[in-house]
Amino acid sequence: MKTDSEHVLWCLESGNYRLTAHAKQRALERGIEPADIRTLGQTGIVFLERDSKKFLIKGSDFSGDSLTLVAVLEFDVLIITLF
Amino acid sequence: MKRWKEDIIGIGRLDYFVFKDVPMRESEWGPVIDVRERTMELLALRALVTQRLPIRGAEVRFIRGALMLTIQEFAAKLHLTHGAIQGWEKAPKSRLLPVNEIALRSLVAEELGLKILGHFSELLGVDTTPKRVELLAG
Repeated sequence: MKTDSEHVLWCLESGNYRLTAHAKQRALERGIEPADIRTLGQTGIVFLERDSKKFLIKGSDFSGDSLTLVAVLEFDVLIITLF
Repeated sequence: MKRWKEDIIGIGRLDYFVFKDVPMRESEWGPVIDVRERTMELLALRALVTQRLPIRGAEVRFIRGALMLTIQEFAAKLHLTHGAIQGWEKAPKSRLLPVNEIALRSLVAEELGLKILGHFSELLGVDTTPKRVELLAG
């Protein structure tokens, strides 16, 4: 049985996530590619925001630069809400 | 739950791709693009080959990421040094030499299992990066 943190990282690495329209816009502005999100799934550390359902994931992107995103779990699917 | 379709512009640094009729849905956190990003990534990757789009440093990084290869693995497949790949990726707007574009297009075609024509002139890229490349994602 995976913990929520393990499941969040697995979602990022396996591509089992969706983007909100807002997150997609931010990704485009910052040049964040799917490979960056997959890499974050391999390198990231998951923090649960206090008093909310939001996860903060910090790690590295495909180029080794730092990347942080905010996501929520909607049943089993991760929804990325913010970069 | 409200569902609809709309056009989504861009993937990563490649802002000329327009994904048509992408499924969308409402959520507690605002509108959600209801398709895996991998689907759009593969559509764009395929278009780089089939539409012979110019390959610049930005496209090289996108291709390498979509093929999920490290710089060393990517360089080895092309029989180049990792420094050559790094150099390309550090200049996102600089177009590759035609011979390198052809090698990359050929590599992507092989990785995706696409059959492409082998004549030199048919593998050369189009002259300029288009302002808009429409791909059907719905």
